[in-house]
Amino acid sequence: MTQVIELTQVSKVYNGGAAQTALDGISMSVASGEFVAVMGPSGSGKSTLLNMVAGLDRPTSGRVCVGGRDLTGLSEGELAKFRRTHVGIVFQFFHLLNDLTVLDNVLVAAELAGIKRSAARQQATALLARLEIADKADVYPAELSGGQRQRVAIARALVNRPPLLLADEPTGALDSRSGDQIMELIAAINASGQTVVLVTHDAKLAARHAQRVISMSDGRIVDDAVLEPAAGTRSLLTFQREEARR
Amino acid sequence: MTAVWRKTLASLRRRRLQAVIIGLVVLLAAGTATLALTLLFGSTNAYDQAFAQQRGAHVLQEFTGGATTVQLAHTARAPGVTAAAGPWRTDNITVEPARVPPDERQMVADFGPPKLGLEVVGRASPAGPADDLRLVAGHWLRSGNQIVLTRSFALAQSLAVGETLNAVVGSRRVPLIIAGEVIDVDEMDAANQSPQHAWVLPATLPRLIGPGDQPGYEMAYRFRHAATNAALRADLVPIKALLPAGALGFTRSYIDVRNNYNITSALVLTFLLAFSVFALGAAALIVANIVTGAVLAGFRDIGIMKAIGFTPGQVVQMLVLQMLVPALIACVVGIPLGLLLSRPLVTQSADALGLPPPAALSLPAVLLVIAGVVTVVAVSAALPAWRAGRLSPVRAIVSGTAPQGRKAVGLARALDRLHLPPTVRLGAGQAFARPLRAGFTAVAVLVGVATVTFAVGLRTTLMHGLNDPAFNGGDYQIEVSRLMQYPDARLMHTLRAQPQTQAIVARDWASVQVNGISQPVQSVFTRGDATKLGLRALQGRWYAAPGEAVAPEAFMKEAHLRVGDYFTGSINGRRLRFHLVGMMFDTAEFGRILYMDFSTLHRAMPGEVPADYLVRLRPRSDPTAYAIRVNRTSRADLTVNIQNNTASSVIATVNDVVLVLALVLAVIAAAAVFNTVLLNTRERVRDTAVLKAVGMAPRQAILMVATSAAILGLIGGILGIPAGVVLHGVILQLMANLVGNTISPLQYQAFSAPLLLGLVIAGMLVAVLGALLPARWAAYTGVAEVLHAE
Repeated sequence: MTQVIELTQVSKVYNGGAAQTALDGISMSVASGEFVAVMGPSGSGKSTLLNMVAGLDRPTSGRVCVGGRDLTGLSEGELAKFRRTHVGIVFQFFHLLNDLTVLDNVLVAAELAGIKRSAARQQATALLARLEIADKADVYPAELSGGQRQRVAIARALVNRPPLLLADEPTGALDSRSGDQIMELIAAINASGQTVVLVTHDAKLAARHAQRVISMSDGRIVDDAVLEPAAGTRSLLTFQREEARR
Repeated sequence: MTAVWRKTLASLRRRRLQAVIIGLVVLLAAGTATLALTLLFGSTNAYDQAFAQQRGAHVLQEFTGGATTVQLAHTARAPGVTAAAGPWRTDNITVEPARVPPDERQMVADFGPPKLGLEVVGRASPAGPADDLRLVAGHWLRSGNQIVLTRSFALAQSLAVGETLNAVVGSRRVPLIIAGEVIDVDEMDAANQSPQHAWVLPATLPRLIGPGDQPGYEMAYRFRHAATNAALRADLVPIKALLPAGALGFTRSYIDVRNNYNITSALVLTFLLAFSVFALGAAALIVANIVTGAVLAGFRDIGIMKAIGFTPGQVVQMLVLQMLVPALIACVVGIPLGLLLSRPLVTQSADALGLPPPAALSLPAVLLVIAGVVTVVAVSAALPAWRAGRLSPVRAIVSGTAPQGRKAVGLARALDRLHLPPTVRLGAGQAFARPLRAGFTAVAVLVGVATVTFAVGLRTTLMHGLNDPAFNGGDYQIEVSRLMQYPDARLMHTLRAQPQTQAIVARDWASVQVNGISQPVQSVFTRGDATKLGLRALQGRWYAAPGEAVAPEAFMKEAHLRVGDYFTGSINGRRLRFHLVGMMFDTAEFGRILYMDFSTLHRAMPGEVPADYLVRLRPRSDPTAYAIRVNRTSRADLTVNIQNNTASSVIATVNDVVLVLALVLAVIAAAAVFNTVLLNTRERVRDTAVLKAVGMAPRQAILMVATSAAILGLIGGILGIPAGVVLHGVILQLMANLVGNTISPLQYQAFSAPLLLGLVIAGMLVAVLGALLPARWAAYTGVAEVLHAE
């Protein structure tokens, strides 16, 4: 299976006052079509890991490859171009542009990717319809509920048809009902073949939707488990050890 | 330390960059205002001070032959006269310096010793009830072979006490030793008035009168009512009545002399004061902008402050203090800088009048500047701060930031239809995200562009004026003066014989007594076609027949004449009828002058011959070689000068001052844009980070921010250019009026379409330049860092 994400010995140290290690020699990979949940307590490094994969942050050491591209040597401009086509990002607090309408929020991402305006509009409208918010195309984010805003954010993330969807606590700012709906939506997107990496601290959520759960603590991966609902849960590390023994 | 101070200082530390912007703008405004006010207090009253100390004459009146000394002395008791001095006998003489400075030896070898004109006055004492002369070097006259000069003349000709001047009297040379130098408040300086007065003992004067000379008399008067030129004209009526007809010659009014002394200061002062107001206005806009920004960005902080017990007044106080602290620090630097820059101009004014240099510190100026800065900054900060004071703490804490208006969105959608790139469209939306802030910034750019437009226009117009013969006295390269014994016909023959000669216009001066005007009008009479020197009428036509005249606006106003009118008057007692056929531009005598054909003078003075000869050379002729050749024909009797049409010191000073001030305002405009873009960028840091997260490249982020600034620059530029053009017209007209002339917009020739387009682009460039730093900051701030902080 093709590896969409490959991290090799990735470390990130922040140097504000006393040095703080956010990621400590992480190595991992994510295959195409996987739904991976990254879990851990606050400050464990899960969001930093996601930022590395999205090309929003650079590692202090190690190598980050996404979609076969090594991100570590790319310039800011090249990283921006990479983000346009390779990843879609959904944030906890939606991060919509409040002075643009719903449709414009989606369109802007498509236009930055160089998609022609008419094609971009068609694509954005279709996505909004799929996410059941087509009737809100001309309203502003401030007039939407949290769940609706997150749907817009998902539409924006998907408009350029990226192979990888990164979601950072997408339900963190939503009530449980809206949160469930969003997760159903992300699961459906994954079911259609999209690779998804979800950062969450909600174990129930991860167990319900992800095929694989990576647990982090103090900047390290402490567990990497493949979830197989029918056969029970088996740790990936255990699986790898067994495979090695064979 | 109080809570307000603690919070103020903490906020200042957090907003160091904005404090620096306020400091820079206030520094420039305070410096300019100090310069202007020090000049206002220090130099404009210098003349009045010297005039009072020396009992200056309200009128220095020349008399032609016909009046006796007894009749003239009797005029001292004419109604309205409070003091009088004279009559003194006068004559126009020519002198040659005996000493040749080493650097002028070659010139003297080529041209002979320079011939300098002087109006020599026979006077026994420098003191008197009027026209007291202040001795500043040497001593007063003690013997018959001595002469006293004005210091201005001595400086201009590099002459010193003890040197000898040879007076040219026919073929004789009468040596006169320079005994002293005086300041005479009743005449302009040597650069603006020629010939200058010089004094010899009354007994010496007859020895200096040459063949053909027309000696006259002079008296100095002080009047009870002397506030205006009209009052002075009325004062002269009873004096005229006591004398035979035609006795009154040239009149020098103290108002003209004072205007002349003050003209540089007055012009510079006008610009400085106007620019200080603009600069303070721009500073007010920037302060209001920053405080508005601080209130918008600090909604949550303000809510928390109020929640923990800050009163609305304390919130306002804190925000105002944040602006006042950097403003006062800027005053500490700007005011001494302004004082330092004002020093040369103020000292120069005092020095020209022999007054001691004024105190370096002008307390009224300093206090006024501080009061002005504090008021402007406090008021412009208090208005937006008041909004913060009234905020509901709960609403502020919950919303965190002020909601944005929807007008921006409307504009963004309008631009959407133009199919512009998304970065440009987003930038346009950003420009108007805060309409009030956008308005402030556009006004600051408008002021900057308007002043630069004005400065560029003024420079172009003044340079154009320097090159246009109709405004600079004619296009000629050689001016020849002859002594009376040298025949006119011989000189004309010499000049015509030169193959390089293209046109010769000879001229002479005489006073014309115009009916309805009490003072005679100094008039120029030309022989030969003066239009060949490029002289032309700005309205009507140039004179072509005897009796026809052209004049500047000041004369026309005084005589209540319009082009086409007829008027009567007399020259040398002979009554004549004149026809005003055109209006011209001439700053001599503040526009109180007439130009006529020599044939008109001949009607009154048939034997009169010209004194000066203006020669226009053929293209590519060498003026120096020409001058040497003509001069060699008679070194003793001819003075040949090569004309140099360079900018006068007044024009040069005004040009420089205006240009510097325009640059100052351009810097302020750039600072305003910088500040606005910085506020916008900081306020929209999350949005920019989101855009970058979805794929906006750093270059696109810079383009987006630069677009928002360029749009404001474009608006400011488009509005600023007409404002600058109008300002240029108004100021130019005022300047022309100051020297007794008028000028129509058609004659400015200052702006061309490419120049105006260039200025609009310059406005945009200034705005983009101001936006570059914040734009780079927006482009390269880490996305993860920003979104994490959010």
